[in-house]
Amino acid sequence: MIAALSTRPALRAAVIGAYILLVEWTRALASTIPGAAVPAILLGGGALAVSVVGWPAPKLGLGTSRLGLRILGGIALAAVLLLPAAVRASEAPIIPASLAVVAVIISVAQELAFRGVLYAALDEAGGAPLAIVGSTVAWTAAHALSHPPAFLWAVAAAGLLLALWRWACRDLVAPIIGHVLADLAL
Amino acid sequence: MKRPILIAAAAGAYLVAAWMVAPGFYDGIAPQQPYNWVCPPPIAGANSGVAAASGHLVIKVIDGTSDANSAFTDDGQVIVSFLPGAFQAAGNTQVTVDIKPVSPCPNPSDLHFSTNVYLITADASLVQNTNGASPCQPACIGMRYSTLIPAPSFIYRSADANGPWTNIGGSENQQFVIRANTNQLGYFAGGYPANATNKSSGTSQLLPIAVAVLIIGVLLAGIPLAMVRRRRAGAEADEEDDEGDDDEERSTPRT
Repeated sequence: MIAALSTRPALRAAVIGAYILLVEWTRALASTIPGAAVPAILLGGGALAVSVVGWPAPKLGLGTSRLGLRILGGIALAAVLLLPAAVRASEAPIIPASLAVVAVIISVAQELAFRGVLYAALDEAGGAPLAIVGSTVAWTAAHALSHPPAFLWAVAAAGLLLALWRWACRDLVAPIIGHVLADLAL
Repeated sequence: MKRPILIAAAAGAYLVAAWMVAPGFYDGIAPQQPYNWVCPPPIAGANSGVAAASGHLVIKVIDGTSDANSAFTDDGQVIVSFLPGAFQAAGNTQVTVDIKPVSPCPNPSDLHFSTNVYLITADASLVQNTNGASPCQPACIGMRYSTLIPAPSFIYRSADANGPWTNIGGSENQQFVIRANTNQLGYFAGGYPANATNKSSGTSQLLPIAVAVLIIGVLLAGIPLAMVRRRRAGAEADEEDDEGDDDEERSTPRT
């Protein structure tokens, strides 16, 4: 099985995608149990982070070269993600401060899983277009159980923006920073 | 040049898609406090399947004095507590209290409601002259609210579903529940003025400020970074270093 995964990129990408979706859907369902939301997020974040095992950092878009530009890109992405909520701040729920650490963990884990590992696996299987579209579709599907249908277009558009950044700049640091800042705000 | 255009187009598409649903970006980290909406806001669409419940209570009247008791809805979203003698009940043997969620939902232009609107009625009037010895005289109301939308600052009361609405105060000594005293029954809802910052946060003001700081930071930091990058590119061109760096390129961001 492991040999088949290492020699067949498409199969590997499918298995990784299925694993990530399974983790995210399980987390979403577990979060509806009273008192289970925080443990579910922590466990789900850990399970997503496990997917990076065996992947070299450069393939995931991680690195410290041109770090200033990566950080700046992350801040710019956060500004774009938060702009609609900032304009309508009175309609925005605010995440409790006690959940800040949890928000950081899950947003980092999601970026590593979707724009890191899944993107890299799809890139190997079918190139950048498949990686961008595939990671965006999986990202949107992962939020289908936790978000009202009306929000999924915005979720998909955010996923597409982050995936395009990952492709255009070969960088995952900026999507991580953007996602973390956005989750810390809402 | 194609890549920045694609990213800009995706950012534009995101802004349009996020603008169509308030508040916009929402990743749902905060544990949801289940709330049974009569008119769910868009953000609560996924958990709006359970109807808001009503409540009913019969309070005994002993020697002309109504007993202490609490009325609450079956889903616990509203609780109204009455102290002994809260009602003008002379001549009665009991007082009946009803709590009903109001539909269609009142939507005053000058207020944002963070809870359902409930109609609370009784077949006797509340006493009006209280000595103020208790913080719950003659009655106090507690309204639970959802974490999905901004917390209410006050409880509002009205004699009519269409208003006008009176602010009767609000305090919070239990998480996600706002309380206030009342000497009248009628329509009640938790909310905040439409033109004001809600209590859940100075964050209503903080968020726009934070985003403005992010944008200014990008602009201010981007200029020196772009200058440094241009200088470096110029220096590299001068050196005419033509060593291949394809391998390096694969792991270096194109920012």
